[in-house]
Amino acid sequence: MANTSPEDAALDLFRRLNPDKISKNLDTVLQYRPDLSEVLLSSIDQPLRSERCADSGNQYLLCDFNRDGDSYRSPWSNKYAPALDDGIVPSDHVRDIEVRLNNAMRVYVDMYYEGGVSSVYLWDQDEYYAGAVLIKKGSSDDASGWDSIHVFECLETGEPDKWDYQLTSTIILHMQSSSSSADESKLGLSGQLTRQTSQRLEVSDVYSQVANVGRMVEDMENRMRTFLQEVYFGKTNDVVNAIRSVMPLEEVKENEKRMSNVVSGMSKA
Amino acid sequence: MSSSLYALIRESPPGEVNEVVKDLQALGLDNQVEIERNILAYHEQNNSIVTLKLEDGMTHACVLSSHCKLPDNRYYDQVQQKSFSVSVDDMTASDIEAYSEKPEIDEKILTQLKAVVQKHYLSGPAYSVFVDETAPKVLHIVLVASKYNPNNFWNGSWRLNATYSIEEKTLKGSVYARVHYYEDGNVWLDSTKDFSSTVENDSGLEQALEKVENEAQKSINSQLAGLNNGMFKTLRRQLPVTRQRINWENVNSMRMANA
Repeated sequence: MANTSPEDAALDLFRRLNPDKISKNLDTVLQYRPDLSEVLLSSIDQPLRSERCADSGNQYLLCDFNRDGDSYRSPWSNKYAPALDDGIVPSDHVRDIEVRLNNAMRVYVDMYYEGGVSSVYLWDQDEYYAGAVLIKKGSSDDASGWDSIHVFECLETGEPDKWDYQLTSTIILHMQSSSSSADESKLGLSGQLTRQTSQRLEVSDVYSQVANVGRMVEDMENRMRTFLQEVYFGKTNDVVNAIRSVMPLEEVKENEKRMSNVVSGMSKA
Repeated sequence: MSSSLYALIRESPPGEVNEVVKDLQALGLDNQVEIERNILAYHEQNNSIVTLKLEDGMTHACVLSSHCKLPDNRYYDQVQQKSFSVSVDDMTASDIEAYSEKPEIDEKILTQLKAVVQKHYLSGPAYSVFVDETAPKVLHIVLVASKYNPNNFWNGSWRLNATYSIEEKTLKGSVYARVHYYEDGNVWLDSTKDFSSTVENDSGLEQALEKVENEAQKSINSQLAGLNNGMFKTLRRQLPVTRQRINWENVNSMRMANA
């Protein structure tokens, strides 16, 4: 990497710096390199913000996918706030899928999150359409939070009624130890993990559109939840215990010796 | 405005400061003096280990901190009675000189510190100790272990900073752990535990240090398990409330609880 481009360098940087400060650090970099704002704002995921839709009273999530200038489109009313006369909206057909998906994801969020906010944004593309499914759930004291950002595209396959769904999913998760006792360590976990998948799925009508996207998100989130669990609570703990041992190292060695004697004794028997 | 961009160097994860600097240079940082100043500040804040070659061919792992700073970006090690510059590319000591302006550390203290790190640290054990500038019976102790595994996308460090008053027999300070995992993402674990304990007698330092460190580590282990079983579940369940996966074909006919 003799001549790293500024874009690649910035992406590498945000893979390293403390994810808890991602928004602040992104501001710092963009003040210095405003020319990178388009590429960085579209490729670096930040915790989502929410707004209340003036028409429906529902909450919705803000991101690059429902932004036009300084305004954001509500998935419930299809209107921008602050109001825009010529804000980009999906075609009627794609908007129909979007409305159904938004309603479907609310059911999903009730079932898996028991609270939380979801928003689905779709947009027309040359081949067909693409979209983003967003979910946000936080603890009441804001010390912990989960943000899902699923971005997908429908691509032509050459086969009739079949589409390749390409999905990139990022989950931003931060948690803090709840104990305020001086006997316990103050613990913070923060970060994000990303996974990609693609699937060839049949589309017969608007109902199968909703089912395809919904099932894909559900599968991905179930797998990622396991992945997050392994990394956040398993891997980090393993690393701490690979640096320092609570048990004196002499005893660890003796135990290992005893174990290997047991094993070799068993194989002789 | 750009000074805060230089300050990002000090927020590097364990073992990755040189990579962070390369990224920032590719973004346009070019003031070498500012870069070096922030790299050294990072190493002092995080108690990085510097390898010092001794005359007899052996090496000693020195620990950087604000306690051992000299003018002109030089540092000293009170145990070895040496001063040196730091080659930040490979973290070795250069321009090594004899340094006898600070008192030698009592062998009884050194033996105990060595015992603590050798007994529990699995990787890169290092310790340093400095006599307080104004109180000769007060010692500043730093213990460090770090393990870097960039091939598997993780790095971690463990540190203890303590002030030991020999006359009052008190030991106060903090234990820090930090883990960075960055395969398919970027995850940080940060842990701090402050402690305040007493040391029974001159030879009780080892036990007291061992105890506060074990408590900190056990607390990390148990809290991670607790968050997994507690808060993580309340954020997102593994299975839906109904214990059945969503029927997406009929989802829009289902009642919404908070519609």
